[in-house]
Amino acid sequence: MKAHWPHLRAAFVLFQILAIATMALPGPVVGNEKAWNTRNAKKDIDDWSASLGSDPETFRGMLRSVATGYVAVRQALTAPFRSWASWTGTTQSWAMFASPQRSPAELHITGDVGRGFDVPLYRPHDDTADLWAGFFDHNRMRKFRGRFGRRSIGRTYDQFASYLGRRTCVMKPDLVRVRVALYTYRSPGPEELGRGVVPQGAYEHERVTSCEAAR
Amino acid sequence: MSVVARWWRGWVAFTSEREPAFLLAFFRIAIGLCAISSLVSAATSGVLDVMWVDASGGGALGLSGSRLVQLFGGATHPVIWGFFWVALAASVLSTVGLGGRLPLLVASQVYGALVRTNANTMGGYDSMIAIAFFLLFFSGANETLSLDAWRKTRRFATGALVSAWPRHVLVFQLVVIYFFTGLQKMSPVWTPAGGYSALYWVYQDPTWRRFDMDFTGALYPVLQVATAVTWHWELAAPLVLVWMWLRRTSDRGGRLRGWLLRRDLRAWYLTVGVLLHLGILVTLNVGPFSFVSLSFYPLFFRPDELTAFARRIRPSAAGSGSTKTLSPDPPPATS
Repeated sequence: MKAHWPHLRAAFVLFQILAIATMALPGPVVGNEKAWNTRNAKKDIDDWSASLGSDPETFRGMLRSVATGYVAVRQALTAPFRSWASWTGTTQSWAMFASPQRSPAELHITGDVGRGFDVPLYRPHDDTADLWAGFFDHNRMRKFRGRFGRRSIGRTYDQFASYLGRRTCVMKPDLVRVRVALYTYRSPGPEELGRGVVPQGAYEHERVTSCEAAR
Repeated sequence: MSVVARWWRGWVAFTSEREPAFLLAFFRIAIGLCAISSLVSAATSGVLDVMWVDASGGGALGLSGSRLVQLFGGATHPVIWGFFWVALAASVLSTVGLGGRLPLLVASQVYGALVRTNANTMGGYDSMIAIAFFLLFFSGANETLSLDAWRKTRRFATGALVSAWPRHVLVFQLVVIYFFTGLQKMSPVWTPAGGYSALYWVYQDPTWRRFDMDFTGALYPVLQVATAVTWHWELAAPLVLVWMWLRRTSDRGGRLRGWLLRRDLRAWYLTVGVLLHLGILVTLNVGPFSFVSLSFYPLFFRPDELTAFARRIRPSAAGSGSTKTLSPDPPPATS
């Protein structure tokens, strides 16, 4: 056994190296239908087709076709390693700042003391509306909030907005209603920023909690 | 001997190399501290209670938990806090080097299972920490700078030799991370097609920036250069491995090899990396990502290189006493 040990170790290291290299191939996002339909993905594809001088729909169709073939190849390549990576917790997913937001979605919480929603309670980087700032400034919560802007809104957003509404009602006894919403706008370009243009946006995905029911 | 057999003999010899343990021990301590800070920060900020505990236990979301968490009954309040304390204890034991290899494996699995309870709050640094602990489990990084070493020898710093392959795999892992991160930056804004404007847009989004970034409008050309450097630097990561291989096989000669080896390409690459990570650290709040990444950097150097470096800057502190680097196991038997 001792004589075989260096060979076993070499085989294990080779397996681990191949597992790292193949599992890191971009996959989950490429094959995800929802990921193709996010605002950012559509904008990226439109921008690429514009710079390549092709029709956006034709370009999108070609990309989808290539992606389908690629995902099949990736499936075959990763097949020997998927269980190992999953059970050992060594999965490889390294998409970081892949497509920066040009239309951010800020989470805003606003209160109503009986005269409409005119009490700003939370807005990112706003000292006059910092009720949840300590919590939301944590890097994990930044990631969580950021995903609302990049992905389609689903059950997670509804549950989270409901939680925030209920908790805010308890924290602020003078409120009658709490509104959680995403404030979406187009980021100004460098020239606009230089001219002092303030981005104008709109509220989307408004969720209102009645404090009477929440308390 | 066939090409495959010759290659395999070389691979077996490479994976059998041994080297002083202090480099992997430093890495063990650095990763342990990053894990501790990440766990404590999640618990004290309320993230653990709100985002990792299921709604039935007072959390915000309906969560079933990762596979290991489910095995213990799901993302309930007691299970999640139980995982937290086990992950924290294993991380502390790994950092101080007590209990042999087991705490490293436990830290890898329990930390990973805990943070995967809610993948929407998970960062790349979480995966890097879990993977680092897992590879350290195989390394013998406790042989020095540890309480285990002190218990065995009554000295914290020993000249123990350990397998070098975990360090090589960790280097390969970071190269893969950088390269595939670059490869996935497929948005035109990272490329000349989008005017290398990515970092400008990152700084306009309030999600990650630490402070108001309106002044970046005036710095647009600087950010374009920074974007180009970042993207090309990430994609160039495999060249470091090529350079390291060329140096390793320098006895084969060749004009191109000789020319490339005249400069320490690896040191230049890592210097740019340090600057980029410092930039991230100052301007963006992405948790301990930069600290975790920078923890890998010393692994790109052989222990004897670092010992020689330490001697140059402080002749009296010549490292852990051993400058021996490549000391292979007894040669593998050939059949």
